[in-house]
Amino acid sequence: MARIVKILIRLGAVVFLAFAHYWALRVAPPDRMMGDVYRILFVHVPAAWGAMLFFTVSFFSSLVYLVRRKRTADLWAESGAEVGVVLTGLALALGSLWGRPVWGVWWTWDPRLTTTALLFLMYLGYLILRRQIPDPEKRGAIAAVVGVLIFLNVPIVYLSVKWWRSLHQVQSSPETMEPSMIFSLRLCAAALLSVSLLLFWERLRLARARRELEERGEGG
Amino acid sequence: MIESARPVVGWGFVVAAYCLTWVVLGFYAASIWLRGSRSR
Repeated sequence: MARIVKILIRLGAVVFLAFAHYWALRVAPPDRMMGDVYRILFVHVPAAWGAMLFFTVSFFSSLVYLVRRKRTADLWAESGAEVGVVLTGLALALGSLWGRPVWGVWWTWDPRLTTTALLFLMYLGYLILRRQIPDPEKRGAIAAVVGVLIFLNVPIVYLSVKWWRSLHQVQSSPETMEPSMIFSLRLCAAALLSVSLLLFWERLRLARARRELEERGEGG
Repeated sequence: MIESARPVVGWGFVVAAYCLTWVVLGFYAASIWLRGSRSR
């Protein structure tokens, strides 16, 4: 019974994402300036929001680990960072696909793009660092310190478009967007979040299984 | 005429973006499943 419920939840999240993307592609109106190419917004922005959310999860979990040395907090920090890296990589690639037709370039050293690329590399380094330390206690402590330090880049990424006004636009708001576009964006964000939460949960289960193997002395 | 004019480029990039999203999420889900089956 529990297995059927799990399958239904996973299926539900995938169907929700498919429905949201159908809505974004077919129901949301085209943009007056960019035409249909703006529809990349409905995958690019939710990926970026999701990345920020999971990096925040990783940050608070690292803090909890530093204070209380709870094994679960370390596993949450690791899983949050990995899901965040996947979503950041996706957001960068989608931004590049959007940039080519709108800005005329695949990539430019715009402050938002540069700080996001740095964020991606920092968290990738965090995940690589974790793999280099065999002792779980030592790994948890070092990773928690690094996890707290690299999170400092997250608010810089967020504020970069306000601090250095350049090519990347500032955050849109309900005042600057058509209500139907806002609805489509929220729908796509909720759908991607549901899939991302499932991925995070599965990644957490994997981290737990690996840690149990490590503690039994069967490697990681 | 000007009002109805739309950028010619667009849909190719849009389709590529949505396909990429599904491919990345699919591959990541598969990678978790594969690593999990090795850890069992």
